[in-house]
Amino acid sequence: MAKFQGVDYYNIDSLLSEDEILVRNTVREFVDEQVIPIIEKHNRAGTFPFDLIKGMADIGLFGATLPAKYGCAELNNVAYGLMMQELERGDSGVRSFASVQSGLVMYPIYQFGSEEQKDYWLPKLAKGEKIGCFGLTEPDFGSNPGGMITRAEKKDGGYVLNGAKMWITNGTIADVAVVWAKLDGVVRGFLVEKGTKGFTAPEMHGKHSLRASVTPKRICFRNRKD
Amino acid sequence: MCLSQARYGIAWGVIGSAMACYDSSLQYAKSRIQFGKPIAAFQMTQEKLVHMVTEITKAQLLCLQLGRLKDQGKMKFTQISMAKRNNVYFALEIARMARAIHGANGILDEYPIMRHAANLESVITYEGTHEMHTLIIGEDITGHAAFM
Repeated sequence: MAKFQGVDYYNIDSLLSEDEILVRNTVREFVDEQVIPIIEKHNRAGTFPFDLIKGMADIGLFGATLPAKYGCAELNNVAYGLMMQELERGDSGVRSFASVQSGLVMYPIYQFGSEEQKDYWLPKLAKGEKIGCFGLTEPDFGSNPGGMITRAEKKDGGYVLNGAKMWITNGTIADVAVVWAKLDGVVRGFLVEKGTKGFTAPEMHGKHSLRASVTPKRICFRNRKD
Repeated sequence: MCLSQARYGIAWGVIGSAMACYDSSLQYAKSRIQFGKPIAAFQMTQEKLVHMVTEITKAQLLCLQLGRLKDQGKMKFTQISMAKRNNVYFALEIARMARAIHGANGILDEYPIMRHAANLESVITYEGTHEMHTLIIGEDITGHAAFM
């Protein structure tokens, strides 16, 4: 197939800044060179293309709008949007991976986390050294936080979580999960690290969609304690 | 707030799926010969291609203005719902039209079409279903919440 030249029937490029176009073209090139040649193979096999993580980090895809002091690209939201557009021209599953890492893991840590959590996690997530996932949806209550069953309890200077989450993109490969649970009836966010006792995330098989993205059957928390 | 971030990225992302499907369709239609001419020369193929490029252009403009509002701190979450709802719906429609233009070849993974189409079947319900975003905007413009 001929090289992709973009689709711009209304000269929308004239509404973009030079920097925005540069960012867009960098991701476009990355997708042509790194994603498209390997993606069908992963889609067939139902495997996540781990080899792309470093390249995605190198072009600033993770947490792209967050401050440079955390190792992020500090771009505006239009540039970030253009990045997602180009990445999904490669594959929605790969874009979902990046969306979760940026929008559902790095963003809440940046917005709601302590300084210590930000300093520890954001640079590692930006470099792709650590992978994150976001646990809101539950097997019994879908994505409605009002009906959330997962409970948190304060215990011994930490928190104990009990419950299950489902449809968690990146869940099987994540080093850290941003988990939502009710603490005294109020929904709060918790960072749960891989390897924590009682934390399990077995892979789901049989997906006909987003096959190059990994989803666990469910993530369970049983008497977890910090 | 976190979901707004992710939905914003999805609204942009699906333009990419749609562009991949349109680009492949345009190239295929210009090179595939039937009845002595490229299928791009037939009216019903042109209608599909025109619909695709028009919807892509509208999606691009929705997202660009959404991004400018977000950068100015003026974006409402109901506006993200409009872009997510519209863009995923039309990206999926474009993927299905692309499948039709590619004929039987459209089901092979030599082309990206079925992969994008199957992926978009998830995207249209994740991060707020198409229906939920409809009712979010519905509540915003009428003042009546119709989802409970």
